Amino acid sequence: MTTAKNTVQTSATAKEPNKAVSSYAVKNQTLAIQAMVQNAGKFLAPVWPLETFIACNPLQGFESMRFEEALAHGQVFQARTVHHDGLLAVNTQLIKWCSSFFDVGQSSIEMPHREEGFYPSFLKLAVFDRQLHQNKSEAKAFLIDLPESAEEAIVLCLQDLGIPEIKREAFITQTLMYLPGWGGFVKWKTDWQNISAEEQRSITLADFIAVRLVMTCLLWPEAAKAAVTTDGLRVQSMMTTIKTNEQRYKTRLLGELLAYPHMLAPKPRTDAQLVFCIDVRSEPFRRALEAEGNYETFGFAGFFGIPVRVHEFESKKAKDCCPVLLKPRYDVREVPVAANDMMLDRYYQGKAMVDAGQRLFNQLKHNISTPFALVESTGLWYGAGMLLKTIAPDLTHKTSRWLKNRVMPSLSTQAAFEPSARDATFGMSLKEQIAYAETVLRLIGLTQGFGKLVVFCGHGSATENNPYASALDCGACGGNHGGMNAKLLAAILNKSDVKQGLEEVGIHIPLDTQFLGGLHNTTTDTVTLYTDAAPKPVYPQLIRQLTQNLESARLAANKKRAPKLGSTNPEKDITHRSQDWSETRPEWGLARNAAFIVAPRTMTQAIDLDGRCFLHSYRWEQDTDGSLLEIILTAPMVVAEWINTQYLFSTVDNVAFGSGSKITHNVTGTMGVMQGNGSDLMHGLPLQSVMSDDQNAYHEPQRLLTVVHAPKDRVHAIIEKQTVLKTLFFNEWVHLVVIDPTDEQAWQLSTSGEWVLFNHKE
Amino acid sequence: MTTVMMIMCITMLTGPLLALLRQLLSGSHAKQAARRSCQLIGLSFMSSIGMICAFVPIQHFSLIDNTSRLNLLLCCLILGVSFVVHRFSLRYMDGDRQYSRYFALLAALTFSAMVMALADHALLFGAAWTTSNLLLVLLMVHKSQWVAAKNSGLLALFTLLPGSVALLLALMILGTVGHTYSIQELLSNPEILSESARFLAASLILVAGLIQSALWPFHRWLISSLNSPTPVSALMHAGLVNGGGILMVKFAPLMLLHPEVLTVLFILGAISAVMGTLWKLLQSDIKRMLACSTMAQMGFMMMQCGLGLFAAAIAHLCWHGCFKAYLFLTSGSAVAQKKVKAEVHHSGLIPMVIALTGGFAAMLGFAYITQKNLLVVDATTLTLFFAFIAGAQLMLSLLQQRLALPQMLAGISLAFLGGLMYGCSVHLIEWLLPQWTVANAVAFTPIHGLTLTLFAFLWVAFNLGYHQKLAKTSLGARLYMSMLNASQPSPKTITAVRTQYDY
Repeated sequence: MTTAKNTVQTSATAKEPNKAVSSYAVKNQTLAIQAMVQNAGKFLAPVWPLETFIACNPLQGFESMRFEEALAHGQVFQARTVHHDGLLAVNTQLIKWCSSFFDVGQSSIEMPHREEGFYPSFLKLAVFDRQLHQNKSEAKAFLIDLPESAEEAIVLCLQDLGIPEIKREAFITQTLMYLPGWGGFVKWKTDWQNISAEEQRSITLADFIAVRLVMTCLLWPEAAKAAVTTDGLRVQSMMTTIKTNEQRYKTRLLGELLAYPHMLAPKPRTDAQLVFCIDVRSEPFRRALEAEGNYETFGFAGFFGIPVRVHEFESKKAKDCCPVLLKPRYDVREVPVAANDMMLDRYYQGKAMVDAGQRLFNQLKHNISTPFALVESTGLWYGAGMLLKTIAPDLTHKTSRWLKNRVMPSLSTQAAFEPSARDATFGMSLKEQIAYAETVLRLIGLTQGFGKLVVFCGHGSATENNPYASALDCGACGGNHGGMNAKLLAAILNKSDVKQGLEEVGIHIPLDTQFLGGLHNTTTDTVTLYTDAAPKPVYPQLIRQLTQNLESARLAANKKRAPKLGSTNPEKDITHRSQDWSETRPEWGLARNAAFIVAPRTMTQAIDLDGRCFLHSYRWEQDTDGSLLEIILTAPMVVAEWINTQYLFSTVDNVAFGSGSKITHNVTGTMGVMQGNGSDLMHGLPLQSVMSDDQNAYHEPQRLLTVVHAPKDRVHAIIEKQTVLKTLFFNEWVHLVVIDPTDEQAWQLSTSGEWVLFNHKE
Repeated sequence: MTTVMMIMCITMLTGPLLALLRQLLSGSHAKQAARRSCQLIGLSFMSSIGMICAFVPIQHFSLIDNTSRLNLLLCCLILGVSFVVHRFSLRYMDGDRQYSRYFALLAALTFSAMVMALADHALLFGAAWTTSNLLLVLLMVHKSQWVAAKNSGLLALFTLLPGSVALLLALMILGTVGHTYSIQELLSNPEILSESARFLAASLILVAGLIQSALWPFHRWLISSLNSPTPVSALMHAGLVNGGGILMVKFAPLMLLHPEVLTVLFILGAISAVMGTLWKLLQSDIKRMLACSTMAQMGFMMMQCGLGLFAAAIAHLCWHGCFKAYLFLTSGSAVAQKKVKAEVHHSGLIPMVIALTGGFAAMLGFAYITQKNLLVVDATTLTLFFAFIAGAQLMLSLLQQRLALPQMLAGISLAFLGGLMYGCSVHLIEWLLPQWTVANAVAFTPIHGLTLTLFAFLWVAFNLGYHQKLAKTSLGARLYMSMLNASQPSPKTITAVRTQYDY
């Protein structure tokens, strides 16, 4: 071995100058391939894992084109033609490899060498894959002789497949479109996954392409001749539907917005101000609550402005609770509130017991020889449980909750965000706390007239047996519940030194104003107030009153939602849906979303928006330089556009852009779904999220209509500055209408950048 | 008393029929009809429970005779699972374009499976068997425009049909030679049949059973069956794959006359049990993992049959049915139930050796309840052995966390309790079916002993983490790839191109 190594070294030294040149050439080639791969991959939209489902535009890579053009290009995903056997074979193999490689918690025996990366592990294993080499000796030799680097393998395969230099990028692009779901997941892994510094990326796009091309060489050598055919006719009909929906909706919405006086009479000090997420599901609830008493509500991104990674208390998981466009900047801990000290011991005991039980069960189940006895001993209990769930679901749910609470009492928690000397990575300094608090309050437009209570209300869903649970949670919190973010901001604002700091920047918060966190359960419309996490209540009576009003608002909101869910007894039904293990439509999520309104609540308060609008509070008078509006348009609005296009495309073609029917879903690797025995990673929303049945859509496909209440010159200046806005508005991914406060007229932005007066009487 | 029993019996039998009728006449009120179906199946189920509790065999029907406890128990299982699946499907399948057809097929399948469980006339039994399989295939191809689903159905059809043919042939041979088509009469005195006819019939029944229960080498159809809607999978894994076991138990007197056939059954069962378990451990998607696990469990059930432990096999069939149906129905929770790797603080041989005491405790508990003699090596050694392994594992898991006296004591008592629990569930069925609890029906031979040793060896190797060491070698890589490939579904049943999927 040593001698061999020496020989190699000597020969290398002998050819030193030559080698330097060649290594330079190799490096150059590697870079060129990487650039090509990157370019080819830009048409893929990232696919997030199910645990933190993020809605995003499946045609994101085409946003630089006009909407209609992108739609035509997107048809490569939709082509339903007869496919070549070679393509099917390559896809089948790649699906097999990807699902094993990306598994994060299903299998007990992992793919060997997985930790080395996708292409390296493929190199070591593929030689033994009979489905790949089919026992042909030349195929085996090809696999054995593959180069160590993925980039070199790409070059080799492209040569083997006979792809001329100029067609290479196009070929790779096409190749990636054959499995857009798995490719998109790779894209998430490479471009979007937040990993700690010591972790290595397990896969690169070049790895993925190299493996695919190697498979193509073996199973589909004539791939170069393949062409994707599309049928062109669909774009027209899709566009017609979309435009009709948009026109009808715009006329109605703007008509209503312009018909009401925008400034209501100033009210006396409100009892409570509640800040909800901009999510479309907040609006019906806000409306119901406003009708209950002297309350004022606001809309703001549900992560409440502070990009944090929350280290959860019970699950011990770290969750990035902020929009995916941001990286979490602070780590905060969820800790039990001090009042729970008595319960804490019981909790830890119970937790240890539950953990031990689960561990025992798992080790018996995922083992050799032991599952047989396990099944026979526990089958009776499973059978009984199944029957109970079937006959008395609500009772079963209540009993199991009660039992869990007996064994392991659930504790109220709060956010620990003060910096500690022990661990420098945790917490945020006082200065940062004040700075964030100021920005958030200014963005909400809540800088004066503070009520007695200010509640920040995050949101989350409650569903059973639903792989898409996180798709119903708060998108602004990265597909998580927003409760912790709400608690965090409330705790910061309750601090007297923060209040003092805010005083210095001109925001006066009365000493008796109390901040509270809360959580809006969007499935049932229940709102929980986190009173335990706050200091001793200053207004116990007011909190009691608010709790009662929240309860009546829930009933009213449930009643309002009943027809959409086909329910005759909403109060019972809606709670039932959130607990039913067989429910495929627990709530409608953000379906039928249509508009993004940036305006004070007074402008929309009188109108029933039917849960179709994202509402962001904004007061143009307080934002003299337009910087706040700029943030709103480039951050929350972009997220709203992602959501809007996700729903739109999942509706127009649920096979290509949605994930198909839930009834045949198969969760793979605990991170995604496939259809049945195996398929592309089904990204997008399931049929049951956007369709009321197999034939009829529930969501109305239409592009986002953004309505801004601000002078149009100011909006214009912002658009000029921001490329992302130019792209979205001028390529017609989003329609923009400005209601100019100077003349109270609606102006629509045309694709050429002109303001056209909207006449709703037309 | 008999009137009450008659009413219950009639309710049980007519429930699924009325449900089917209600579906066929549903018209535009599909949801209402489905709800009514549910209630009817629920009533049927309750009647079957009532009859089991009353313990009275009925002998009033000429065609469907021999409504023995076994048949009733099977009916109860079928109706129970069917009821749960019906209720689950009400919401789960909501909005499906084939909603009515789906519920009609469910009701029809429930009825035919029930006839299969109750039938005494051999040809009626064969016909119900075949019909059930056909209905199952129709349910599997729920989305007929989806090519992969259709291919799964076709694969199942072409695998299950030969099984039905084998069964029908066997029944015809028995009927012709024995001059009667009553299964009960045929089996009350199987010795009078000619040796060769008996052997042929037993072999054909073996083939039919192997195919139905998806044992190696007929496992492909089951592993490729996941294009079915989730509740159909639940029904299938809790119901129809058990057909093989039911067949063996029903024809037990015949099978016992041919120990060589039973030995083949035992060996194929063991192969399926080992392969299914290993495959299951490396699957990355929840449903295929469950399918591989079913294959293993069916293998285990057939091992029990192969040793003449028919009551234990029925116990396994019932409890596994409930277990698997539950796991399929909750397969949507796979994301939430992400498995977190248990930290092992103490590994190696020492905890394992100590853990064996837990194995003995479990065996004691099991033997105490089932009144088995620990010292005699016979067929029941099989169940004792698996009680032993499970008990040892239970204790080992505890010891891996902390190697201390309290853990040891807790481990031993837990293992003993586990053994008691295991014994209770097996004994409950043995108590219900005394005539199937035959002691020493099949001799325990070195083949059986060797098989058990293999299971023990695999368990030790896995728990000492040898598979992780093996994975680093090229032998490990080779084994991994061959197992992964062997457990893949048939290529035609995979939706290789996304747009081939259709709802």
